[in-house]
Amino acid sequence: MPEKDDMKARLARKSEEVSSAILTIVADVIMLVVWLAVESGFEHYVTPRFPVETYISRAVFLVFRVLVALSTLAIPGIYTYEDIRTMLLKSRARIRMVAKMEAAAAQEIPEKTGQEGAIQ
Amino acid sequence: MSDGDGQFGLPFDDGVLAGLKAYAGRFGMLFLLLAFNAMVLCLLWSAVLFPLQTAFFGVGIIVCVLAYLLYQTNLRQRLWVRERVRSAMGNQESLPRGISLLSILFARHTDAKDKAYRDISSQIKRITIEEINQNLERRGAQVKLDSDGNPIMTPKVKGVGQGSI
Repeated sequence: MPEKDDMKARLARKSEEVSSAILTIVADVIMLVVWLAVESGFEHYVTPRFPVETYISRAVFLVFRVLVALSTLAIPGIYTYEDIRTMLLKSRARIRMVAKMEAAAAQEIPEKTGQEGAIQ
Repeated sequence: MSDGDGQFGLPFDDGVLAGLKAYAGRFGMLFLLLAFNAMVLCLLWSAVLFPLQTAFFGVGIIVCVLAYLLYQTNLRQRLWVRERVRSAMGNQESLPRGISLLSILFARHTDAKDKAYRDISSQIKRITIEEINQNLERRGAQVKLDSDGNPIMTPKVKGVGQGSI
């Protein structure tokens, strides 16, 4: 029974972690989709209607388009990067923790066998 | 990025509500930036269609901002002098309410007050000690600032018609 409870707790923790990661990824993707929708709307509806008759207005508008695209991409980009880095760091910390536990367990086994040998 | 235990965490680690709150902030920033870009686009469009009117509009905005900054500097300068005078006279009364930003700057706590003095004095480098002393003298205050900017009491001078026979 204790093994079953332990298994349940582990499963619950794991599913919590996975659902958190999935929700984060979905939210980040939605942010990127919003950016893409705005950019596509801007390029399809605003750009053809903007009065670019002179060379200066054309150049200024081109600079503006590039700046808009980059600046608005920066926010979803930064947060996506942050979340990916967080996931990587978490998995690294998890791997390290498991390695430490295994090392501790490996140290305990010879100690126990040594003690048993001494008793005999 | 980091949760309370000092570990790295995702927005949804503390629950769906906390995650939604975090993403509301992120989306808010994105929409704020989009709104700003839309405003710049409108300005650009009007600059192409009505260059003269837009130039007038732009100059008007710049003038308003400059006037506001000048007003702020002047207000801070006056309040700075007043606070100095008050502290020199041993009056611990705080500045009037309504000037919330400045009342934060002029906090009662000595360290915060000193910091505020330093901040403000670095902001208004144009104002010299002599100018402040002249201002104080003109107002009849019995206090002056020494070369370090610390307030010092000046002896009361009996003038004509003040009871000296």
